Amino acid sequence: MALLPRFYEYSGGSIRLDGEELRDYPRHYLRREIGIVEQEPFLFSRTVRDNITYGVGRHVSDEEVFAAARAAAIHDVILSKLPDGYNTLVGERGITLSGGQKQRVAIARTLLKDPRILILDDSTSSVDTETEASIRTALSTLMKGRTTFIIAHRIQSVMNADLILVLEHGRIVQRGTHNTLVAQAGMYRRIYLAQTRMEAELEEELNRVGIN
Amino acid sequence: MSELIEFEEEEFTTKFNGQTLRRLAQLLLPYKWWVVGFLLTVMAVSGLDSYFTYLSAQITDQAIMEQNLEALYAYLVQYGLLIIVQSVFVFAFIYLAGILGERIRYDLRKKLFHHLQELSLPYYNRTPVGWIISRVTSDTDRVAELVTWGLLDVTWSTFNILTALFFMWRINWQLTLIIMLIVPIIIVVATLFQRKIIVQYREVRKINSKITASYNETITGVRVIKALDREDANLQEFGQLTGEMYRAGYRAAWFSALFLPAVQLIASMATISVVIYSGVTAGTNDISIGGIQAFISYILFIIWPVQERARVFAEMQQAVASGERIFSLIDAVPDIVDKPGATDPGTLRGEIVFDHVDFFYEEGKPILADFDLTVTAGETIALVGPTGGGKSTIVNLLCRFFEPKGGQITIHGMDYTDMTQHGIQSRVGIVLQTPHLFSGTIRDNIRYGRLDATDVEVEAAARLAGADEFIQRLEKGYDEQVGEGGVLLSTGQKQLISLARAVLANPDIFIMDEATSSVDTLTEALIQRGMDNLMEGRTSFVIAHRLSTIRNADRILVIEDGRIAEAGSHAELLASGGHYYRLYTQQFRQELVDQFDPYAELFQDEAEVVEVVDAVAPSNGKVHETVLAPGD
Repeated sequence: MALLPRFYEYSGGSIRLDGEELRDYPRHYLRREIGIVEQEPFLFSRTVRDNITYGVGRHVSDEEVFAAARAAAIHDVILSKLPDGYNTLVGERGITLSGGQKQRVAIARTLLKDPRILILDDSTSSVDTETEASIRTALSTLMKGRTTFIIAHRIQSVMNADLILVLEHGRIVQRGTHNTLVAQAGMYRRIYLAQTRMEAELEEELNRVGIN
Repeated sequence: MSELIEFEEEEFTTKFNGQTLRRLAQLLLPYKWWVVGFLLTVMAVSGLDSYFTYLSAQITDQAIMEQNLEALYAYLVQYGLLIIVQSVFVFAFIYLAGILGERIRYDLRKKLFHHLQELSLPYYNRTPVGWIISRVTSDTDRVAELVTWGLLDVTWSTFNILTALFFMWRINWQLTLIIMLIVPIIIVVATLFQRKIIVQYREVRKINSKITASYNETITGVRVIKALDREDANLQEFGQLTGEMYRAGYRAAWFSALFLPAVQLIASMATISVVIYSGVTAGTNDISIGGIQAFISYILFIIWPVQERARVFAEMQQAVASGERIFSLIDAVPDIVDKPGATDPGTLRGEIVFDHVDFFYEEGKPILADFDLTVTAGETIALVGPTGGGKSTIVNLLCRFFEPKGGQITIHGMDYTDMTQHGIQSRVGIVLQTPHLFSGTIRDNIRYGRLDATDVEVEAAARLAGADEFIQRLEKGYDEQVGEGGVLLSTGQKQLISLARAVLANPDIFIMDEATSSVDTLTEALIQRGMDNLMEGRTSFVIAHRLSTIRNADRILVIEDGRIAEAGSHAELLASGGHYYRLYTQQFRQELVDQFDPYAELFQDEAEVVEVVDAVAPSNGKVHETVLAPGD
C-alpha cells in the first residue's frame, strides 16, 4: 500500500492505473488522488480546524469543514467536548485526543480532500463499542463511490468486500469473495473457523448465564 | 493539556525585583564570612591592578627619566613583592568564587529536590517535566553564577573605576575632568548598542526553538505530509521562519560589528584629548611622561567595565529571573497535606466507602459526581469501562494522590483525610499499566517495595509474584541491570517485577492497572498467578482489560461518565444484557484476534516447531494482511 502513492518505487514488474504505468504519474498527482486513513493518525500541533483542512491546498469555508466533520461523526465531539471547539489546539502542544477521535479527524480530513482512491488501515484497536460503531459509519460514508483498499486483521472488516486478497510473505496466497474463500481450504478459512469457534464459545457462555 | 500554555518559558522580567534580590542575598547568609573574604580579595586585586599602573609611572618618572638606578631597584623590589601578594589574592578570590558557587548550587538543588518530593501529584499533572527540570538544573546554575561571578564582575568593575579615578586625580585633576565628561558618552552609546544586540539575540533564540519544533513535527509526521501532498505549503511556512531567523541574525551581526569600533572611536577621542591637552599645556603644567602613559592605561582600564556594563546587567537580570523561577517552585504548596493531628491508621483492612464523592481535575469538568461505593474488606473489584470514564480517577482518589473535592472517603469508618499520607500510601500496593522501573538491578527494583528487605525476602517475593522464573533465566539473575526506565525488559516483565515489589511491601490494599498491550501468553499466565497470590485476603481494585481477571472478580463495576453504570458479578451482568454485555463480547472478540495464531493448527502436534514459528510470526496478527477492493 506504500507503493500506490509512490512512497517507494517498485523494483520490478509493473503497476498500472487506468492503463498507464504508475511510474509515469507525477507523485503529487497520485497523492492528491489517494486518501489514506491510518490506524493511529498523526495530528499536528495546530487547531482541529487546521488539522482537518491540512493538505487540502485551497481555501475551505466553515460550512465545508463542518460538513466533513459531521460526515466523519466528529462534529458534535468537537463542539461539545473540546474547550475552544474548532480552534482547540491539538497534537503535541495541545490537548490529546483519543485514538478514535484522532481517527475520525483523519477521516474528516480525507473526506475534504475528496480522493478517488482510498487506503484504510482498519486494525481497530481497543476502542469502546460506541466509538467503533461511529468510526464504522464514518468509514462507510467515506468509502461510498471510491475504490478502497482495506488492510484488516479481522474477518468482520472484510466480509462485504468485492475481492479479498490473502497475503503471506509478500505473495497473494488466496483471492476471492468471502463466500468462495470460506469454501476452500486455506488460511482464510482457518482464520474464519477460529473466529467462529470462539464466537461459538462466547455464545455458549452467554447461554450458560441464561440470555439469548 | 490546555493549561500547558501558561508554562511556556516566560520572558525575563526587565525589573529587578527587590523581594527576589533579598531572597537571593539570603542564600549567601550561611556563608557570609566567605562572601566578605571574597569581596575583600576582589577589591584588593582590583586596587593593586590600578596601583601597578601608578607604580609604572613612578618608575618612568623617578627612576628611568632621572637615571636613578637605586630608585629603580627599590621600585622593582616593591613591584616584585606586590606581584607575589597579588597572585595570592587572585588565587584566593577564584578559589572562594568556586567554593561559593558550588555551595549555593548544592543548597538550592537539595532544597528543590526535597521540595519536589513533598509536592503532590496534582502539581506534577499540571506542570510539564521540562519546566521543573530547567528550574533544578539551568536556573540553579544561573543563580550560582550570579552570586559568584556576577558579584565579582560588579565589585571588580566598580572598584576598578574608583581606584583608577583616584590615581588619575593624583596625576592630574584637569585631565581627569575631561575623561569624566567623555565616559558618560561611552556609557550611553554602549548601552544602546548592547540593548539592541541582546534583543536581537533573544529573537534569534526564540525563532530557533520554533524552528526546532517545526523540524521535529514535520519529521515525525512525514508520512502524513507526503500523503497529503503538503510539501510546498510546509516549505513556505518553514521558509518564513528561517527568513525571520536570518533577518534577526543579520541585525545582531550588524550591531555587534558596529559596537566595538564605535566604542573604540570614542575611547581614542579620550586618549587624543589627553595627548592634545598635555601638548598644549606642556611646560606650564606638571604632568610627566610617566603620568601621560599611566593616564592612557587608566582610560583603557575604565573602558572595559563601562562598555560591558549593559551585557553584565542583562546577564544579572536573567539570573534574577532564574531566581524568581526557582522561588516560584519552592513556594509551590503541596496540594495534599496531612491535617494537624492526622494519625497513622495502623491498618487499612476494613470497609472502604466512597461517600458522595465529587471530583474534577479542571473546574467545570466533573469526572466523578456524587459517586458512592462500598467495598467490604478482602473483596476483589474489577473496574471496566471506556477510557476517560473515571476508572483511573477512582484509583487515584483511593491512593490519595488526589483528594475528593466533595464528599469523603472512609476506610474502616474513618475519613481518610484524618490519616497521614504515609499511613495510607505505605499500605497500598500499586502495579501500574506500564510500571516504572529505576535504573539499577532487578534486586534493587524489587527492594523498592520495602527497603529493609533481605535478599532472601526479595527472592521469596519474586517467587510469589511469578517473576522468579524469568529472572533466573537472565544471565546475571537478580543482579541484571534493567536499564533506564527498565528499557531492557518487556512490559510483561516489568509488571512481574512491579508485582514482586508489591508482594514485598505486603500492602493491605492492592491496586492493579492491567496492561492493554498484548503480553505473551506465558508471561500473562505468570502475571495472573502473581496477581492471584497478591489478591488473596486483600481488598483489591483492578482496572481490568483481560477477561480472566474480569471473570474472577467478586464484583465488576462498569464505570461510564463518572458513575457506576452497572455493578454485579460476571454472570449477573451478562444476563442483564447491558453495557457490560457489549463490552464483554467486544473484548472477547478482541482477545480472539490478539491470540489467534494462523499457524498453530498446522503444527499442533509438533510443539517445537510451533515455538520456532511463534518467534518468527508473533501472534499479533501482523503477518497476514487481508487486502480487498470494493467500491465502484
